[in-house]
Amino acid sequence: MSTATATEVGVPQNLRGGALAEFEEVYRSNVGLVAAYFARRCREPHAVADLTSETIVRAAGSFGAFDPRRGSARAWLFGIAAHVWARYCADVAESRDAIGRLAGHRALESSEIDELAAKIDAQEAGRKLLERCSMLSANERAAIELVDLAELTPKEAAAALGVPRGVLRMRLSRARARLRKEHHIDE
Amino acid sequence: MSEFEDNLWLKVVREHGDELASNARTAQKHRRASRPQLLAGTTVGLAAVATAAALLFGASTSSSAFAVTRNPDGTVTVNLMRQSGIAGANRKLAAMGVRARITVQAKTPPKLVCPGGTAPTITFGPASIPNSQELVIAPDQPSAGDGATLKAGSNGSGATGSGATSGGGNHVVRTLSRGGKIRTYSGADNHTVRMYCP
Repeated sequence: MSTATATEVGVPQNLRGGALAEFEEVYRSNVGLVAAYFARRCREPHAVADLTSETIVRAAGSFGAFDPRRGSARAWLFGIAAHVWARYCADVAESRDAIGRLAGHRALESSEIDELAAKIDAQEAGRKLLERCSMLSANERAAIELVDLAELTPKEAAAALGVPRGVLRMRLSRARARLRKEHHIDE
Repeated sequence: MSEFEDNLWLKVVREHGDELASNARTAQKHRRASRPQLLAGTTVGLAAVATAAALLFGASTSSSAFAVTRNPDGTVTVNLMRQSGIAGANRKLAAMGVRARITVQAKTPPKLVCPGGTAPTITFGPASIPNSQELVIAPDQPSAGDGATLKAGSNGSGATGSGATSGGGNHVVRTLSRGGKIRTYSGADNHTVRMYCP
């Protein structure tokens, strides 16, 4: 990822400062990870774009309420991403217009579609790991994904999932043990 | 950033830029979850207060309930016009990375009125606040005079500083002269700097 600044992407002078600069730091550090989170779940670039946009737009709208004493910005962002994904799945399950209901929806340039398609391809290994995790409980799967794929620390993952750190560690340990056992059986 | 990320950022700025640019978040980014509320060795630089207050309130054109200003000498001045300004002042302090917050300690709401219609104020040196500590500023009953006061959670036997005013319960209230230093009270667990009337 290159390091374009707010100035380079045309943020007006009068908007630089306040919490905007801080949110930009959060955005720049995490948007790639959030997009990858959705790229492991969807093979459609438009869906990945809209789910990522929805997460970021929601985060921007509620940044004033973000309290870092309760967890890192990354954990907070992944908590929002998980809610966005859950609602999207519910809409799909009930045959509602899941994409159309996302406030973050916008038309993509063809170059952006290519870029997201490449990101989806790059997540193939992660997607396979998630498939292997289908034998795990949803809670264990979430723990494995956030720590082993999304690069959150166990502490951040616990905050994102809203569980105590001890519970997260237990789920992680149990999930890894089951995956190792499964792997030995396969061999 | 990639083109997708650049375009998404522009969308964020378009839709939430004004809101984000005008707001500070409620809490400091790296603040620890349970910071001891203990003050030690904070320098109270009062010299800049009169100037800052005059600049902020002299023309009486500001309708803000608070003002937080970083002075050229590195000290920070907090002026509080209304109780409703406490939350905003705390957000501003947090956004500036200053480990200090205003806390109402009395059971009744503070009367933020000083003689002459001026606002209670305090100036302190953030650099003097130890990393593991946080300065607590009390707006309750701002004291008169040109000195900041320190309410120390001691046993009331501490020596008084210059211009000492009163003791309350088992607390000692100290008044410091201009430029004086708030001393460390070993064993105390709740040191508070009280705002004063300029």
